[in-house]
Amino acid sequence: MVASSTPQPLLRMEGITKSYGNVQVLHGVDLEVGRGEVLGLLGENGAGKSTLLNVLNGVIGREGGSVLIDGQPVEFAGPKQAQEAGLAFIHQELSVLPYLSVAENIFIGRLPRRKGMPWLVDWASCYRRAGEILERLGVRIDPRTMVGRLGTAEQELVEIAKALSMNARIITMDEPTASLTEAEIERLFTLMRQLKADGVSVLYVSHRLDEVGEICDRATILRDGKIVTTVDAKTTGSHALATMMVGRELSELFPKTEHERGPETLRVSDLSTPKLKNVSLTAHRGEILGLAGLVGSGRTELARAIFGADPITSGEIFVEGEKVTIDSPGAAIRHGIGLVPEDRKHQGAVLSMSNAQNISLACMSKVSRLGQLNRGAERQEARRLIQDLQVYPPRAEQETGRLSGGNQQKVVLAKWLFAGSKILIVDEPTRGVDVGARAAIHGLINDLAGQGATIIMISSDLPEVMGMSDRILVMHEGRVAGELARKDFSEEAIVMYASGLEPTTSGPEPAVAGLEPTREGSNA
Amino acid sequence: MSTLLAQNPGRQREAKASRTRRLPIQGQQLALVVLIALLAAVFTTQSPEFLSVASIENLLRSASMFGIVGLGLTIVVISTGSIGGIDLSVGSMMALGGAIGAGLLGTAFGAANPVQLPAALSMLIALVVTAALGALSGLLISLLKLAPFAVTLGMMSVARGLTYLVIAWAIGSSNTAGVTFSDPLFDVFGLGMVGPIPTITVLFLVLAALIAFVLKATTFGRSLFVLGGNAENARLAGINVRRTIIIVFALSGLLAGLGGLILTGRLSSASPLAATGYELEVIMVAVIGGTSLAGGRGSILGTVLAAILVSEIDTGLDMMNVDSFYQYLVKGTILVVAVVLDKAYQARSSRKLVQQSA
Repeated sequence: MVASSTPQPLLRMEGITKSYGNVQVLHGVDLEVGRGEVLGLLGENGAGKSTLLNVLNGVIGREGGSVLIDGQPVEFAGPKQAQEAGLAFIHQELSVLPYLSVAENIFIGRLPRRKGMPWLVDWASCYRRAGEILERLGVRIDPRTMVGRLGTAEQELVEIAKALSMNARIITMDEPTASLTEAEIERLFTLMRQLKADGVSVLYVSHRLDEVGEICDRATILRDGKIVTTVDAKTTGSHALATMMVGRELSELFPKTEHERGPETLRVSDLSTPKLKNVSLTAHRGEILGLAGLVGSGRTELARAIFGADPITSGEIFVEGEKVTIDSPGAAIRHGIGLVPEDRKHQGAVLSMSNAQNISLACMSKVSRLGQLNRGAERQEARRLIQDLQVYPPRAEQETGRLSGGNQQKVVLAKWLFAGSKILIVDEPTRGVDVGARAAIHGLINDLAGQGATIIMISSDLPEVMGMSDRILVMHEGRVAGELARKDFSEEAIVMYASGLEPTTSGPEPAVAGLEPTREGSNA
Repeated sequence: MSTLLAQNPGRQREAKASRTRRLPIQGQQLALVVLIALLAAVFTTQSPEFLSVASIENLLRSASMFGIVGLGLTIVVISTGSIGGIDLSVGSMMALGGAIGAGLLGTAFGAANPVQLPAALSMLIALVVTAALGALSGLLISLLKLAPFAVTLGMMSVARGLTYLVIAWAIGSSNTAGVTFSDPLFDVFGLGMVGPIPTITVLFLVLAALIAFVLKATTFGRSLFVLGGNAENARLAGINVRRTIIIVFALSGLLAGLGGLILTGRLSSASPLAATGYELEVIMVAVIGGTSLAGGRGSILGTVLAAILVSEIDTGLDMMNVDSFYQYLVKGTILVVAVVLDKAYQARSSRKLVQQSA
């Protein structure tokens, strides 16, 4: 079932455009899904996949272009209309209601009513019909079971059952295998093949490139809000797919300054948490260590574990050669570690407080004596940092919530400068930040490294992480999947490691220690 | 880089927002002052007695009692509002504090009086017990991450039960009518004056000033606001969240115990049914004073003014011989209006934030 074998595609999207504010996210996207076809939709984080899926399923409106089902143009005012037109959207984060039964979840909002007494639910028919749908799917689950007691995979099957109960003809699955085990994935794939046979089409989003070849007929690659190409998924290898996903030159300039790499400042050995498996790393004075990987690969979890924000189950942390116990963020701060979290608005800055109060937050003892704040000194220190970092507007008394995203981020960075952190972990430091402030933040991070700080930078933006880092660790499913020295940086290599594959096309990196083949089963 | 920053399009908007920002809170306090004056005028025209020395003294004593307990509750809500922080046990804690303070004196009329302690010591024990029970609430909330509403509702019941036990033990009978006594130190609460001002009002104002200072000018006070804004944020800033929550609830227990001693002193009697329903009165004082139940925002000045307002309504309506049911009606209405205003303020500021980030 290659590109043009379907005379009339079941779904056709033409010239879809969408922008948020001044940022155009989709630039005229065309897409076709044939009847009974599984179409893979591939792209890096931020390529516009989610936006496209949301437009398709009526979650958000589009600005331009048209959507045709069976050749008929359709308009959805909301998700409900999309559902009525035969679309179903299974999100990565499942939306089942854990305390309701399987049958209730399937028929939620449209439970069958008793004849003559429409205010009463016809439970007999509800369970019978749910049972029929589950049987059709070949799933052996009692419709009376509480959904919360099922495993993730089974919950996903319930979602699919719900989609079928609404006579969905086009099912969108956003990373359905992200939290499934090998066996569960096989089961899902079997089910998908059956759906295909029944003429149901699936739009399948996954970061696991090996799966795409296994289950998809064709794959459409989205990059920077544009369709790059559509290829035959069966004959195109994972490596080729990865190259197409990345496919761009390092066009943006990053002010990478070379500085001397000093002695080791941070060593993490065999760190494990429920989300991390035996992570080891070292970082040095004056070094920017990049942490790449897909969203959910454990980068943020690693940052939080080192910072003492999440408990660790095993492993050791050494700061400047000494073993330290970090059981709370307070302990991390005392050992000179700072964290600029991903969620700036809820974890980085206290938006209701002033810039000065935010800046002194992690080290109030510096401007206080016997617990009494010297607010004059606090404001003065804050003004100095606000000036140094060019926070705009440059006012210590300004409420931080009133600043733009980039300026808020500078205030968060100022907090750690104030606290005198020697090891700074920055998680997606430029997400949601405009271009000018982005450059300023990059410059600042470089300056800090130049002054001898150790920076660990998490970023999903490959040009950013490659442009800024001295060394990159790539994470995959809670492990360090690979390590790249600056001379070996390539987007392909990072994407390969991040997808759980080994880069073989580019020169293999012999110094990759601790690289373990993951998910061997489906690499075939 | 500086030119890029100077072109920031949000700058006029930001500057404007910052200028108008502080007004609503001050506006709320101003509204309280106006309301207090307005009601005073109304009450005086209806019943000239309202402006008499005795009436104002009574008003101040009542306001001081609710105000002192309200200070503790204000701290609880400011610092733990983000996790649904509330202390429903303050009324029962007042009763318990009063019962212990009076029961240990051993001077109750016609009672067993198993022990006889100096008044200062019995008061101290009362405060230690209520503070400890408050700390226990805080421990359960922070350690087991239980809902403050549920924990303090339980503590409300436990403290009430303990009050019965203490009084039954003091009078040596399970016929728990109450402990009636006379003690010079306790009389200070009901009768003591510093110049023209009741002693407990001076105590209230000193405590209010002290707490206002702690909130505004100490690292501990700062951390309370951070915690109340967002507990995760506080934790990531290195604040010891668990310890802070325990301290805050202990303080609430302590101040409720003090309020209970004042109540007992004013009545010269401790009853197992004392201060029933006072928790609502106290929560009202904090909320009308502008403390956001969502946490992270509140003012001690507001609490002081609200304590005066609520007591003014009680006293004034009493003097007009208005049925107490109407008092509930009036206070309830003012409470709801205060919450609506708070909501409007929050909606406005979050709308601004959205505009800002868009």
